[in-house]
Amino acid sequence: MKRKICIVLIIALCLTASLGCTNYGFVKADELSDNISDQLDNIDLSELEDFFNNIENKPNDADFLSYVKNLLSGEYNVEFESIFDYLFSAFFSDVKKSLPTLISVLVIAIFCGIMQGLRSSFLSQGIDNIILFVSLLSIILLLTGEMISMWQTTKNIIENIAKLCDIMSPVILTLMLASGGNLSAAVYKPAVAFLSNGVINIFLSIILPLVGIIIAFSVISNFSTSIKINKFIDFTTGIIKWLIGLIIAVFGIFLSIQGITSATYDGISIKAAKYAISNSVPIIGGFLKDGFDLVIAGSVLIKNAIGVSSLIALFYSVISPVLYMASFSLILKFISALTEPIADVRISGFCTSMSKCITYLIVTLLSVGFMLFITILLLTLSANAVL
Amino acid sequence: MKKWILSLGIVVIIVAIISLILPEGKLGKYIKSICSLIVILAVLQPLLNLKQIEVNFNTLINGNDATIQVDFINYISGAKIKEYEKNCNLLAENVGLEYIETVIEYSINDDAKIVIKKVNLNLKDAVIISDKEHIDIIEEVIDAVAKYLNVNKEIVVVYE
Repeated sequence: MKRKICIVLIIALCLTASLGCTNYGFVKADELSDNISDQLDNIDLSELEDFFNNIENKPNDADFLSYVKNLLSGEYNVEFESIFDYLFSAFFSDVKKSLPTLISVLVIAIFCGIMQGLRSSFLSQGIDNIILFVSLLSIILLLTGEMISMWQTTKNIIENIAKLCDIMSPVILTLMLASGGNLSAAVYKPAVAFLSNGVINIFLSIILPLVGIIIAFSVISNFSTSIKINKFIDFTTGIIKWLIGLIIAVFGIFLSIQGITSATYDGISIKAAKYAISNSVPIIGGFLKDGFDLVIAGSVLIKNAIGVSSLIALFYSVISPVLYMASFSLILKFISALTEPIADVRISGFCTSMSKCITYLIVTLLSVGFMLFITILLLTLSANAVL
Repeated sequence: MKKWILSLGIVVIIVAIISLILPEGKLGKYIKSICSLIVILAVLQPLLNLKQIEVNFNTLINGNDATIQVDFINYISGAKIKEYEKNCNLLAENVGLEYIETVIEYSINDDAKIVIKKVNLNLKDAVIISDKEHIDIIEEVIDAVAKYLNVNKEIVVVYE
């Protein structure tokens, strides 16, 4: 009997203790959520909200703050099905958008091919040349207009990415400083400035104009057989490839090594400070650091949520133009394949070279997007030692 | 650049029209080579004007730094200081002195770090809850607070 009473008492004690722990946990969670909402009220996110709300082709109308709050409360779920649906619908709507221009190109190319086929029976060599000249000129006019608009879109998106970098970095760096990542912030501050001023300026003022030059050279080299500037195209392409490769390698290696080192140093500093408190102040040392940790943990969680929301903003800014350009390039290649047996070599060659030029535009856009992606990722992953 | 592409386009169209009109023969070959020279000159035009281009590498690398939100740093430092003050009171309680009021005077340096200037321990309403001597407890509290805040003992001031 005594044994049974003992067992019941032990179970009751355990239950009481566990209830106490649970209550303590709830209290801490409430304190943390209060802390987070206080910090959210005090940090200025208006520019980020404006940027996020102005992104075109977002899948839903959710605003920036609700994304951040959902991430903080753990309610944000990545639904892969809806993302794939969004990507498919965006791709096919882009295909629909580009179809009128591309069908016109195909019709002109087929018309030109048929007319050249009839040459031997009805037309002279001179008239045949004039037909080819007119057909080529109309295809060039159709596609060059589209290429200029794509070039302009790429420029606008890169400028938008620079704007996102300029808006997002002060917020994240402030939160990083607030959470004790002083060295990380000191490392990332010039790195972010280098990305938004240096790297993006190089893309805007050197690489994009070079892509423009390639477009112009491709038009010229396909327009007339007497003008041969294919080696110029190769030369310019080489410069672009080297520049992009060099920038990504230097920026990526520099940022990763510096970022990881500083994050480790900050982590060790924070842990050393905690250890010092726990040991220098006996008995309640462990309890003392709790309240202080909650303030820092709030900042870290907000920083990470803003980082992830910025990644979502970056994704929606870049994906739509990339899909449009990719679909256009793919259909151009298809038209080039279709027209090769019927029409003049120059028409299919022109379509292929335009498709290559679009690829350079996509690569330029994705390179800048990738570098900002890496930067945001490292900013999000740094100074998390308190958690 | 727009001017260059436009002039290049015009030159190319003119050259293409000329090669369409020109009859085959020796003269045609000469004119075609002259046209090719003109195209090359048009292509190289930006290189000839390279002296006029000035790239300021200084602004490329050292542009505008990200501006930190000072108001938020002030707010978060205030919150951290409140936690420090609360913990100092708990610390004193643990040593054996209840109901003390801690006020920390601080500033924020350029790296957004808190620099503690003075720690005021107000013992006006304090109650001793230990068997230790009055003077020893105050010394112990000063010691513990200085250790916890990682500051010099001299800046921990007691008001009775």
